[in-house]
Amino acid sequence: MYLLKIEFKKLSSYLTFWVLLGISLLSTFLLTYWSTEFSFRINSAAHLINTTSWYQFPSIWGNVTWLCSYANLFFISIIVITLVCNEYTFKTIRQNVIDGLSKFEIVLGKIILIIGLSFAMTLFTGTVCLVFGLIYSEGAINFSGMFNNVNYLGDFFIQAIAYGMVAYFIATLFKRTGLSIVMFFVYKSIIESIIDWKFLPNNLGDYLPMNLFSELTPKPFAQTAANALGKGIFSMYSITSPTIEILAIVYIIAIGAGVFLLIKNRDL
Amino acid sequence: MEQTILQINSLSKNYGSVKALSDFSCKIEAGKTYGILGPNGSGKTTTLGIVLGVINASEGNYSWFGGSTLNKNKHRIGALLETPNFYPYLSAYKNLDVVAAIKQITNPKIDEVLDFVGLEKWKNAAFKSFSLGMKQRLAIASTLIADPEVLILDEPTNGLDPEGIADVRKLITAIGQKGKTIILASHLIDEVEKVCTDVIILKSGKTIESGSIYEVLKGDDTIEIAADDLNSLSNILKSISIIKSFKKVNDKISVSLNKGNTAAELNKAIFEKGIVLSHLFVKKKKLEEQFLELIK
Repeated sequence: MYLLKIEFKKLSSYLTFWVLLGISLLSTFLLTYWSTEFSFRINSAAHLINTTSWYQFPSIWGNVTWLCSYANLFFISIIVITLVCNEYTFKTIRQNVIDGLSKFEIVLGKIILIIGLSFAMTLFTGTVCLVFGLIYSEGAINFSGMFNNVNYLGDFFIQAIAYGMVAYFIATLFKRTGLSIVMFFVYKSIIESIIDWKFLPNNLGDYLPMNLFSELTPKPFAQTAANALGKGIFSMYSITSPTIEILAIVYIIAIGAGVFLLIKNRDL
Repeated sequence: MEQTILQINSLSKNYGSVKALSDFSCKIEAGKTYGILGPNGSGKTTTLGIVLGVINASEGNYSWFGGSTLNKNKHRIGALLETPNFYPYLSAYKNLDVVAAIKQITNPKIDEVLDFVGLEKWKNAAFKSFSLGMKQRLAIASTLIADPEVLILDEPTNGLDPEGIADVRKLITAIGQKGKTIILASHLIDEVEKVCTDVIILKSGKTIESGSIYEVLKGDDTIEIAADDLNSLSNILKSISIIKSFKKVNDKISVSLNKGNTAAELNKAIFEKGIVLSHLFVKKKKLEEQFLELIK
């Protein structure tokens, strides 16, 4: 717990961090608020979606977590990369070790921070879901069923941690903020796609880390649309719960170990 | 109380083919003030970086406080390595608060140490607004925050004005007198001479001398002699056993004697060989010259 306290003391008057966190929470709210408009444009099959049911319990949990996972991807990675690379730029990671933290504690402190950030984002997203759900349910709340899909929030939490850990690994590798942010998104949107498309047969690409993390919050109307059209036009994701959660956690632990090994064998 | 604070056994560090440190061993005992002296790039910071856990040694090992791990003992050590590293957006006070949290001190005397280094007026100013001297003072304050038994200072007067340099030296002496162990790395011999009791001299990653400052730096004097016939003088010098070495410098000969022999004995020996000296002058060797000779 004292590791979290140390991390918090470092951030207490760091304006950039609070601004980034504020924007990420704001964008979660705005995405949810505008989401009924978006859903028309996102998919050509969108006319099949009943937008009035978008905010209804219990489907709102899956809908909003899917949408806000993009804010998650974007902001948690930028926040983590900024904080980690700062430690290298200011050489404070070196000073922290001189002052008394072991390299293991250094890594553990940041992982706890990532978990804390993910928890805060999940809590906020959950609150937004609850508020929108209550407002738009038009009095017909089915209390027994309203938390049926709340497990999406758990997946959202795991996903936030996972994105944060990938960002941590890349930041540790490159040490410079700008380069690390670029590499994070290059890996996510280019490198994994190329590996998937060029080198991996069949559904093996589904096991690539970013692909897998992204599918923790699946596209909500893909199944609906496929069903409505009466054919499997959407290539459905091959890994299902709970395998996907277990694999995600295994990846998270492996990435954490990777970060530790990088730092352990490095002169600070 | 004779107690080993730090034991270093044949430490080596290679950067590619460059040997930054080779086979370095030493023993730091409680209550002494050590100076690690050496020119830039001689391995001072590498050595301290290794024992503080930020640099991985290529070979060798070290142990703090008789065998326990460093991590559990870091609150007993205050260390300043090279440049002061702090969070630029945090104030002096908050930066020290982070250090205190890392060292897990319950009631850190932050105001007290800031006062001690003369930064109390700037305690709420962001670190990024500080001058180099102020940054250095803050770094010294952070080493004192846990009231440590051992103080490791790497070039602590770097960037300070003359007044600041004098302050820091006074401070180090005062801390040393409290019975604390100090390890001071410096390339300024006059700094080491003023505050240290023991000295280790490094050159290109190798120890070339170590011991009490008196033994190491108070070297032999040289004696300058001359006679009317300089050639026959230099001929007979070869046969005098108390001479360690001699060389001709212009129209005089510079002689260094074996330990314990005096200029009077030399004069007598030369006289007995039948030569009368026209000039004899004992040159007290300055520390600076002694140091430069050692690292040659």
